[in-house]
Amino acid sequence: MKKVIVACGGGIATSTLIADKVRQTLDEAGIDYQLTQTTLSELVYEVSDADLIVTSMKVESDFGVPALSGAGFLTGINEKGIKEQIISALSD
Amino acid sequence: MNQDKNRNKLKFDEDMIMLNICASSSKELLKELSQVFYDRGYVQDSFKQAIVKREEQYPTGLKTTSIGVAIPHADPVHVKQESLAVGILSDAVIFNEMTSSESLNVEIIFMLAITDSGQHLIMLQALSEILKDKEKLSSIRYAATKEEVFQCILPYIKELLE
Repeated sequence: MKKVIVACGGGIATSTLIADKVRQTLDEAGIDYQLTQTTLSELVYEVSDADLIVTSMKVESDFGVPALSGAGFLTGINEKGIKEQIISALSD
Repeated sequence: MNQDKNRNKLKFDEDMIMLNICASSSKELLKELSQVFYDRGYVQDSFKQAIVKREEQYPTGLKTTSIGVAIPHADPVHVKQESLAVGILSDAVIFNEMTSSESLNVEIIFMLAITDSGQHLIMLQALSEILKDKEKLSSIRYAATKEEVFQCILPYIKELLE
């Protein structure tokens, strides 16, 4: 079971859309996961045992966990590339 | 109960569209567009400040394949009624880009007043469909009337409207 955290500024709007796309991506890839949606400021409390962080914006701190930007899911820019990066980050 | 239900229904019409906005900064623009919500009673008076503050902390500029867009929004505690406003600028204003925080010329603003319903996912999906459509963005940017802008957006959000 992979633990994925999706975070944006308020944990309400952007992360909801990104989370939805991440779920789709992982379902299609057949990866078993648990997804948590949070805010960037709460991220630090959730991150300890995570396998991947997907955020709307660049994360300044290095949590020692792979982090990706999911903003392309909103604009369609490099959507395929982001999906591939998510899958590759969670493949052993 | 009934009132709660209506609160989550999206309000959007031609009066929520502003064309040819002249603003010298993103802050000025955000204040001007927030006022549209306040005048209609859709938000608390704290909404304007919340939008400005949130934009500073977590910028919402988005680079698309064509025109720069921003999707400012605030925490649902400042919102009374789910609603959307669209602002088209006569000259681009600089926002920070969501992912990189780099400066980005923005010409179209979709400002969201979202309640804590599950509906905002559908609204964002609809918006994201518009953002991905180069021609649609161009039609919105260069529309001559509010009616044209409204007709461009309507098909995407029809099911959310009251």
